[in-house]
Amino acid sequence: MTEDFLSSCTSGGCGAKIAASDLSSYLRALPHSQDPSLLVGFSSGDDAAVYQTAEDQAVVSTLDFFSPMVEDPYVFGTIAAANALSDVYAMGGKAIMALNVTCFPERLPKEMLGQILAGGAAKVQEAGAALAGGHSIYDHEPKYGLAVTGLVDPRKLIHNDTPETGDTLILTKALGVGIILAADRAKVGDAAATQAAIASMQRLNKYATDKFPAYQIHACTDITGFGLLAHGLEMAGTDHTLVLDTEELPILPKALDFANDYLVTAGGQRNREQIGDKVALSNVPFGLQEILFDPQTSGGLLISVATEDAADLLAAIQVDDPVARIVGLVTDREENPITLL
Amino acid sequence: MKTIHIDALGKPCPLPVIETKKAIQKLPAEGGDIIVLVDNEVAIKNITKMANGNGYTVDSKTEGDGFAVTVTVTPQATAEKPKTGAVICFSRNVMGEGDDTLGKNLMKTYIYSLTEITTPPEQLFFYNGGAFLTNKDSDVLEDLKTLEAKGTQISTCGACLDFYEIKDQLAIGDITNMFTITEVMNQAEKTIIL
Repeated sequence: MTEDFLSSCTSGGCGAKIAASDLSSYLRALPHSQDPSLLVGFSSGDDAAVYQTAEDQAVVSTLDFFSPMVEDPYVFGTIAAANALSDVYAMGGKAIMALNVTCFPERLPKEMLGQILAGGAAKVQEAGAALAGGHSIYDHEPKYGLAVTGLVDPRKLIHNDTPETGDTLILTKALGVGIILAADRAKVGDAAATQAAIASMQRLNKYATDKFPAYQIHACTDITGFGLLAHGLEMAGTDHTLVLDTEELPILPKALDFANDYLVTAGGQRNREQIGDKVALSNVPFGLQEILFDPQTSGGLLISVATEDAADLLAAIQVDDPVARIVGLVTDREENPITLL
Repeated sequence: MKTIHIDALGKPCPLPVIETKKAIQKLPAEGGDIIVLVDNEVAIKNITKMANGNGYTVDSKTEGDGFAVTVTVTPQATAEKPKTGAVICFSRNVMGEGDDTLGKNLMKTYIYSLTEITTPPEQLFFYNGGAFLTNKDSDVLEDLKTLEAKGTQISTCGACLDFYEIKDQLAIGDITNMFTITEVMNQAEKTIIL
């Protein structure tokens, strides 16, 4: 029965995300608001929309949903919610309210739907936000996610593309979620690895951002469907280069083994095509390249922090997220937006 | 020789290593020196580990309140030749001449040691009396399995298995022939015969 839940889906999690380049020309054609209170809108590739309502207050608004990537409906609900909430945290905000977005097949038992919603509600509660309603329709594939509203002091808003030269980069969750789930769906997975991936996806990024106020955070983004490199490119922007040490990346157990066995995803391949020649990959072994392109569902935060604060911030984050690591640094723009060591 | 100076004082690990690796990428083809200032022993150790792993020479001395670590990169080191493991031939089931009980223990220790070295052997050949080492009652079987898991190819001479009538007891690796043994030994960078 639960197998039907997952196998009824063509592609699950953030791996199903439509590439920005496939969307951008259509997005550009849409009318753009000139409202000066809209601090972050379409035109930026940031994690959530931000609208200023007072000198010291802005509303953060974001929406995320996808098809199941795990067998257990309750677990799927928790992952979808952790993922949807994450965009608010990546902007430096606090989640206050969430609405369910649900699609569910008429042929599947309604208890499954109940479990998805219960999982989502539990995560929203853990985040300290209020679940305030939602909308559900019948569809041939299950899909679930949330529209999340948060608050942020606009002066403390953290963009995803404003790192400073000399900053240190910290990554808070291990990579390889997409590859591990692909192996699991191909029935060649590893139970312990799948469990580790699920626990990672369920983890709220709130615990990391709770530590932000004491430190000079210059940029932050959450690593999701486009993988580490594409999210890194957004952070590098036009003026900086991110230097990432591939030997320092936190990687989930078994993910590299699976990658070396070519258990990779369509989403990873799309990400590879998106990056094209913007990053020199020739010195990076194949398996590691796949980790760099792997779509992460409910992935961790990539944080650009002033180097004088890096050790203290890392220690503070590691109290709750021991897997967090320093993975690189920020320089003035060099030949490429990302240099891999 | 080009020299690049890096000030990594006050920078948490692994930043000193990352900055060193980044500077090495910037060296010209003829190599050069990277001099990194660090303020703690762990940073020295980590830079040294990275340097040793890549075949660079490394030297450190105290300087002011901290240490200056010099990493010297030579063209051979930057060429990064893939390191291939040795081909090892086992012609007997004991190691060395003399007492066979001792020889058996030595062999056991030797094969265990192979599992511990950084670059595992490329290929192990077992022939004549060595063919007993790969059968199901062999006391080195577990270590051979470890080596196999690390990518070492394990092959036993088919004619030898037939001669001793122990083919049905072979417990690891594949069966090979004299042609393959000759060919591999001939092409190997290093062949060790026990």
